[in-house]
Amino acid sequence: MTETPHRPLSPHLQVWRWHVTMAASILHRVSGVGLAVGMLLVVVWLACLKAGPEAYAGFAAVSGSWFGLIIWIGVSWAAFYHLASGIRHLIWDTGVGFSLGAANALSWASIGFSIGGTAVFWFLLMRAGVLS
Amino acid sequence: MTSPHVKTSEMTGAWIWIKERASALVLLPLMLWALVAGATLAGLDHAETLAWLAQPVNAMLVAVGILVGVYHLHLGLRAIIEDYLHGSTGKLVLMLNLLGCLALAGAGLAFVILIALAQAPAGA
Repeated sequence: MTETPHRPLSPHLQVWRWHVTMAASILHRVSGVGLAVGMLLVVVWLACLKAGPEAYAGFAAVSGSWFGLIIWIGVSWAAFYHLASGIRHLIWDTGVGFSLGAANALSWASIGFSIGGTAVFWFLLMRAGVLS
Repeated sequence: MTSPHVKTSEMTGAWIWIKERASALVLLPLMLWALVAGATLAGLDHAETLAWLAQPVNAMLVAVGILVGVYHLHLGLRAIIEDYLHGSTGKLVLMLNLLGCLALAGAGLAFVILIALAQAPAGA
């Protein structure tokens, strides 16, 4: 292996014309990092559950505050997006969906599903009266 | 066989690719379940949440979700780190990623087990 330490490194975001597959790819990473935050919150949730009723009430209060709700809405969007976008990748892995039209459609579908899924998820929670 | 200017993914990329997909397939139904579980748990108090986690199927799925989820998380963060950080900084952050993920999975699993043990009837 010849060493070429000064070769260009990918990706050079600024030289690309914006397109939806690029946005969907970036969002896949963004939502993945968002789910890292979500996993951290799950472990904090378990820690508070173990610590007792007082700690758990504190966790629930922060979760239900406007700040907590923004975080949880973000995490739920990340879950819906990463799920849909992940399926998009699994479809590509089978060797289909690589035409420009199909790739764009799959990417738009992932974005649409994540917005719709998050909206329905929180609508159902609010209708159940959980967030009053 | 290794060179300082070759990314891990260029040496063992196919195996990592398979591990990413295998864990993704396991996580697909688990993530749907997690969304339902999250909606179920929203608004529950401490005792109600403990009762939910006392059901073996819930405790089991939380534990498997943490294990496979953190495994997949480690692979994903590693791919991002390898793209943007190089040299000794990259190596350090890759190490922190591994240690952080091990700590996260270990702590999560430990809490699930400790909660289950605390709830087990005396003498069982």
